[in-house]
Amino acid sequence: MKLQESDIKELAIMGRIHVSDADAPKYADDFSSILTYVSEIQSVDVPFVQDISLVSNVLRDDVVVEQDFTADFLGQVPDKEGEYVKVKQIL
Amino acid sequence: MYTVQEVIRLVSTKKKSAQEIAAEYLERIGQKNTDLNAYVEVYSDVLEQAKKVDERLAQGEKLPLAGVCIGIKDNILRKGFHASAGSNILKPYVATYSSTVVEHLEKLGAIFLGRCNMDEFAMGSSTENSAHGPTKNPHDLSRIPGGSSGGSAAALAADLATVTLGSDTGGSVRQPASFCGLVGLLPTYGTVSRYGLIAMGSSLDQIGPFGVSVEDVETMFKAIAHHDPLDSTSVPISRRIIQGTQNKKVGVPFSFIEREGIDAEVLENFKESIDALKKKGYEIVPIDLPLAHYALAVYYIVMFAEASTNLARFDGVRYGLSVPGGTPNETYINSRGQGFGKEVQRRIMLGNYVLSHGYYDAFYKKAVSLRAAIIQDFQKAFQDVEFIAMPTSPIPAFALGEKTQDPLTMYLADIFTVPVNIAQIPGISVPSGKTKTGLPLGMQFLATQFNEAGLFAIGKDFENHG
Repeated sequence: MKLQESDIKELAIMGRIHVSDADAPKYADDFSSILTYVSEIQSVDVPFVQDISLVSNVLRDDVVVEQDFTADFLGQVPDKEGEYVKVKQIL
Repeated sequence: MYTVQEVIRLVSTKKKSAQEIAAEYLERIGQKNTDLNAYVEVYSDVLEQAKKVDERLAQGEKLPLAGVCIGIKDNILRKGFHASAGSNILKPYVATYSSTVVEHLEKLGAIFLGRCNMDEFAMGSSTENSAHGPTKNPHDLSRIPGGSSGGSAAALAADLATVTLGSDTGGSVRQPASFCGLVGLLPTYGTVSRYGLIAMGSSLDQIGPFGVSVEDVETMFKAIAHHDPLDSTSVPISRRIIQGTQNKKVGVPFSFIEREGIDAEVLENFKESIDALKKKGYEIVPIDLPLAHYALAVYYIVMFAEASTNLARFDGVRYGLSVPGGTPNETYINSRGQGFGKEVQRRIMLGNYVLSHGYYDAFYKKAVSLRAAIIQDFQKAFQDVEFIAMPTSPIPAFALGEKTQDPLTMYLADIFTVPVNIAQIPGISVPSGKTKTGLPLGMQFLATQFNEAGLFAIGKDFENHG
């Protein structure tokens, strides 16, 4: 399984990361060998399973708990104005 | 080197105060940590915490872990302190709440010394992949301590804590325990709360303790293995039922072990360990795990998918590193591009690949189906035996830099640990001796879900075999 540098660029866009032109060939090589290795599972014939019951819905009563995290959370925000998180204009 | 029981005895009989014990650890950390890089931060309030423990004791409070000094992996939150998961993207982050494990241990009188180094977001098997630089193995400074919880293992092996906590997604507690001559436990998935643990692969991650003895690991496990309503995958106590035989039979998947490129000294040590178990009254039964070989490929596909999904939350907008761009999208790309290291970026991209339309069926869906079949493999084996034994790692601790160039060779080192996370069963690594050059080796025992008590029993028998 051989990946091209253009595939890497596309995957980087999907993952919202930046891959430089210099790094792309190394990623393409790495991915080719990793994907070839994990592709070996395709040679095993197992019945298709949709849900392996590892998860189930867990519900609890919707009870209001009074907690004030506002200052703590806003203290982490890189760019803010008053109590608002500031972002670049979207439209 | 104190065991947990020794610290408890010293403090409860007032031979030493919690403050004195904590001060001893701080002094040793001051002497040794520069060389090892086991801790990325020593908390500024260690002596204050110890003073509070002494005061609580003086007021007559019963504190089962009074004075026990703990190092925690850098992905476990403690309110008011940094937690970076070994990543630049979280270097500025200060935890706004404490993890459930930290809260439990604090109530019991434990003291947190600091946060321990790790591979970035727990992605690695050597603790070389950290924004804080590599950690070294106290047994040989030219070698890695294992990973991803390598800082926790190195800190304990160098006597810089009484016990430590790590997290195990594919072997990240058991493998560094074996490389550093310690006991390390992967609890059954769902027994220890993941609330306040920075996520990597959510169907695989579990917090686990390191100790110098099985007894210490058992004490720590009992202190943290509670149901937590804040973690929806936490299993209620009433559902923690052991399904399986308790017959002191140990299954050994010989063909799987010998197939996977195992080091000759490791194999020899494993065979000696099997003989030791026989002398302790255990019956050895050859078993077959026909699909175990595929667990590694299944593991990497599932983990890539889960990790890329979990890491989508880091956006440079709400917390952590922010590298502003002209548009919101540029801010995401700049922050994630500069904040994440190479291995993390690799896994995000591979996760996107295996979840993409056109590849999803062949990779992710197939891996999930095969995971179900592997779980059945284990269930079948456990119909006849109480335990399964394997080496923890096919190789001893390798040299710094030896496997950093080729990610696949690093992945292959996890062959014996990942099937356990895939099956969501518990596993323990117990020291089994050393190589001729003095590198520690580990023996791994597995059991059915919730049979940690069985693992502690066989672990203690094995630990005392001579």
